Amino acid sequence: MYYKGSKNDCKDYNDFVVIGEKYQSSTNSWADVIRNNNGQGFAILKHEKYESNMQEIEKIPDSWKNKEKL
Amino acid sequence: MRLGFGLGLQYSKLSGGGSGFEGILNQFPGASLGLSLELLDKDYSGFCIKVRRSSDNAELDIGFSNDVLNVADLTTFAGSDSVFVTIWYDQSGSGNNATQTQGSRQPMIVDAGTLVTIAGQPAIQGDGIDDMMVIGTAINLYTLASQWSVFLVSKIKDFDDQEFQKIITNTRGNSTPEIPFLIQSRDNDTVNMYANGRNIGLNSGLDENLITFIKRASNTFVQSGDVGEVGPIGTLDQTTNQEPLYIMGEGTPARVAKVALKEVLIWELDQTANKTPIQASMNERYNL
Repeated sequence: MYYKGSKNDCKDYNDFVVIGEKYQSSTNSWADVIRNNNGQGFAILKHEKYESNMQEIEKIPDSWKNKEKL
Repeated sequence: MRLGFGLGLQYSKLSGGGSGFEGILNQFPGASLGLSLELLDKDYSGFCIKVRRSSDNAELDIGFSNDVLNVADLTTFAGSDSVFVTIWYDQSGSGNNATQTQGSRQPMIVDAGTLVTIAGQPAIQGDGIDDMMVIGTAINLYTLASQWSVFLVSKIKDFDDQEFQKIITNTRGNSTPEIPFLIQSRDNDTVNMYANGRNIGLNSGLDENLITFIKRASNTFVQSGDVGEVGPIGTLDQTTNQEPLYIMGEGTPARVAKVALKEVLIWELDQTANKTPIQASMNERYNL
């Protein structure tokens, strides 16, 4: 599952997970923010322990081809 | 020597151990990359892997016991949790560790208390969704003049999982003329190799458990199995590595491999003359 939202919302979600998980040492983030190169929107992988108000989607749509990390 | 680790697992190590131990990197020196779950060099005194535990995200360096991964330390640390690999330490002395700093993309070595294995031996498993590790840009697998030899002990978990699965590469590109170096599996149960913008691989004779790909000064190539020499070379000549070397996937979560790895060795040398003994060592150590 992924959350779809603005770039800042996705970045904030990553920070939310990092703080909540208290990652140590060689782990410093949860997931990349993924940009839809063919249109509007950003997404980030959902962590099973952390909810967000962003739209939840099953997977990155095929129409987001050439998706790239930021 | 036969070792048991209390998990219903046993695996044998036919050579090595004790003062007479000689690793494969001692027998064939000059490697640029030596990633393994076994000790490769008698003089290497570092750890094997750094891991993260799922329940509390605690991390721990795991070393060797009797010249193989210390499974007892790993499983004690794991308990009933899953454990993910954050660093796979390079034993070549070149400092080319494979790393993954993102929790969601770290490959697994213990699945809910059960050791991930290939043929009963520990292995590092990519999920085929987004897991991958980064090795950096130091290894030259990209210039036309480069010579190199790549040996992998691997297991493709599901050839049909995706049409293409990138096992090791230094590009996010998917168009053949843009690919400096790539080994990938295909959904027709083959493994393909790319070098300098050309698809080198043939569709038969490749052993997915022991992948060998050698680029020679003569601009011909040697592959696994009995395929022999193929060529000629492509035309892509990068003067610098434009992206890091990736294993199990690439920088973006696309064409990620559902693959388990035990060993990744690279020499920036033509090891054609040593191909048979290197493969024999891998066969012996891993019972392939």
